[in-house]
Parts: sequence; C-alpha cells; structure tokens
Amino acid sequence: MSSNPKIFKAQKLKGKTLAFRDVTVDDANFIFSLRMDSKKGRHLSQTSPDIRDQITWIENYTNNDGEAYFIIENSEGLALGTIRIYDAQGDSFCWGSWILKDNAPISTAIESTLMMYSYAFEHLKFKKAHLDIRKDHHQVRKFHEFCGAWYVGETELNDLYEYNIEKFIELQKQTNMYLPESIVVER
Amino acid sequence: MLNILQSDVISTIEVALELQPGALTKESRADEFEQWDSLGVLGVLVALDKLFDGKVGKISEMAAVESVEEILIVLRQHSLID
Repeated sequence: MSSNPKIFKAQKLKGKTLAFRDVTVDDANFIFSLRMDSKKGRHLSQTSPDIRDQITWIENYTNNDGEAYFIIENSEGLALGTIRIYDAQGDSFCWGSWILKDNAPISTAIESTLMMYSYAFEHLKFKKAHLDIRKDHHQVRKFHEFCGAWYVGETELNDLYEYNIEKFIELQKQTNMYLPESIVVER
Repeated sequence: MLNILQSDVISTIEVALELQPGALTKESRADEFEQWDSLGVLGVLVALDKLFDGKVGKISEMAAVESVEEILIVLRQHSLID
C-alpha cells in the first residue's frame, strides 16, 4: 500500500516566465504590504496589523513541514505575489494565500496556477485538491470553475470546491501556451 | 476552417466575462473592463478553446493578447477565422 503524499518545500520552481521562491523572513515586508492592501486583503484570513506577527509566522513556517509558501517572481527576480500549498488530507491538498500585485502581467494568474498544480500533482503526487473560496470573491470562484473545479458545499464564509488531476490535465491542454514545458524543481 | 465568425468570437468573450451582449467591439481592450483581468483571461481562453474545438490552447501567441483585435488577428493568422 502506498503512503499518502506529503507537501515538501522547494527552494525554487521555474516555469515559463515565472519562478516560485521559498518564502523567508526577508519577505515579511512584501507579504505584509500585500495582505494589508484593503482590496486584496478582504478575501483572505485576517492579518495582524503588526508586522512582527508576520515575521513570527514565517519563522514558524520555516521550521515546520507540511506546507510550501512561495514568492511568485518574474524572470528578473521581481516579486509579483504569493501562493501557498497546505493542508494535506490523504491524497488531497489545499492552496491559497494567492495574492498578485496590481501591476503583475495579465498572464501571471494562469501561469502561477499551472505551476502550483504541476508541483502538487506531478511532483508531490497528490491526486486531488480541496478549495475554500470566500463567498464574496466572485472573480476567484469563476476562475476556479474555469479551471474545472466543482462545487461540493459551503460553510458560513466559504464555498467549498474540489479539483483533481484529470481536470488539471484538461486545463493544461487548454492553456498550454502559458506553461508548455514541465516546471523545474530545485529542492 | 471551422466556419466561425468574428461576431461569434466576440460573443464568446462577452459570455466568458459575463458582459452584456454588445459590450465588446473589435477595438475593446482588456484594461477597459474590470472583469477582463488576470483572472478573467482564463475564462476567455477556455471559452475560445472550446469554441475552436481545442485548437486555441496550442497557440503560443494567445498568452500575450490583451484586446479583442489582438485575439482576432491571432485567430486569423492561424486560419481559425476569415
């Protein structure tokens, strides 16, 4: 019997125009500024207004396994946003903390999503994903539905969706131009 | 050629972006519509790929289009519309 997949951090993931870099405490200011943005932050779990809490959170993240938190960068190393893979449950994972800067290229959302799913499904060997989407975040819900995610229920705050590797393979065909080659993973 | 008209392409983009019929013209640009942001672009792409029977996903230039006109030009270059 094979054991369930686990979430491992990676130093770097390289895509077509983007790279993911493992978060360090040096990123606290960048993450804090994104999360405190009133427009972007309203769809996220509440962020402490004290940056020291952000630093502590990242220190804890660095010292613990079970999640991978990345800075999304362009090819020049300019930070464009964040993305996180967490909450492994059997062969399913969750992702979130997905925030993109306003001036990120229009292709960033799709390429970063494809890179994240590629890492989770093809490298970490998950088969499914479970997603919590804020009920008031219509654009993100539509995005996940276009990816192929399906509604499975709700909580007071969130709509719950699921996704699987078969839907990802379908999505890869529809969006091949954003990530035509496999991602490169540096552990 | 799949016999799909320019107007079919524009209608498909409108539906994907949940815009009113007639909201888009050939001259419309992504940055003019709140819905046509980095999230909305996936809907446009998936809808066009379905309209053209899986042929759009293979066109590398589609990753860079930011207007209706640019989409129509790329589709024409690939002989998907007249």
